[in-house]
Amino acid sequence: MPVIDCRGLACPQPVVTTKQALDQLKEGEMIVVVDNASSCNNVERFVRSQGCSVEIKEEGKDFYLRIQKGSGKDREKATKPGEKIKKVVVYINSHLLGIGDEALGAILMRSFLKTLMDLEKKPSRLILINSGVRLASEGSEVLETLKKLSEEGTEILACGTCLDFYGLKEKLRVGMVSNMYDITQSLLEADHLVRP
Amino acid sequence: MKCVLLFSSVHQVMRTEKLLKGKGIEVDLIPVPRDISSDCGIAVELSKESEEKALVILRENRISMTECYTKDSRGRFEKKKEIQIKV
Repeated sequence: MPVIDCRGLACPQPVVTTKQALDQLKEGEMIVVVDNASSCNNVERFVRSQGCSVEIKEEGKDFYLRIQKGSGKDREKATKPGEKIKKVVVYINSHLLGIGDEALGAILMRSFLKTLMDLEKKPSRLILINSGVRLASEGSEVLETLKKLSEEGTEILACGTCLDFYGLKEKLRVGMVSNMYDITQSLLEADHLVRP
Repeated sequence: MKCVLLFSSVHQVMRTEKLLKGKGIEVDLIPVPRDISSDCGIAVELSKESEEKALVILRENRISMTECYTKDSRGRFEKKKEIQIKV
């Protein structure tokens, strides 16, 4: 079994060395030795992000990480460090949900947003475009719902051009005025895009 | 404490909302919680105080309502068996 001695190496060298060793390792196990807790944590986080399992033994001031290389599938499933929370973006391009009767569409949109509020997993961003901006403006039936979503950490972006077009610039009551750059970037960077 | 009214179709929900709002009763439309089965997934929510007045209006306008629930401050639903309007 390969043993990679990373004692005496400064951060981020232990992780880099581990990565190189892991790339060369086809299947099975290897051991990485580090001499401090933060290197141990960093290496552990890295190998777990690669879908490996790891056992840690402390001996004196050294840490021995016994790393079992995961299969390809595990690696696909693994998340990259710092990306544990998936960015879910909800893109709403109308004040109505679905195509058909308008009154029904309005009710369905209200119901959709309220359900979104009730579910545990909240989106990271909610983008309102075209008549979707009405939902966040004065007189909207879902203002309270959107305010709650915003308080729980969902960023609400309303298209400025659209607010201007509908004469709602002064009437936005929740969220922030945004532009096509921010909106397009959010769409491109989303892990999941939800279009009701 | 809130009162939640369930109907058999969304048309009745829409009529009810319009009627009650026209009479100055504040109502909200809410999705029917998963654990309550209903023919229509959208319910009408109103304050406990307006319940009686609302039920009278529904009767007068011959809108049938299938079930009535109370919803406490923690969001728990309890069925009120005695109330049902059949037209």
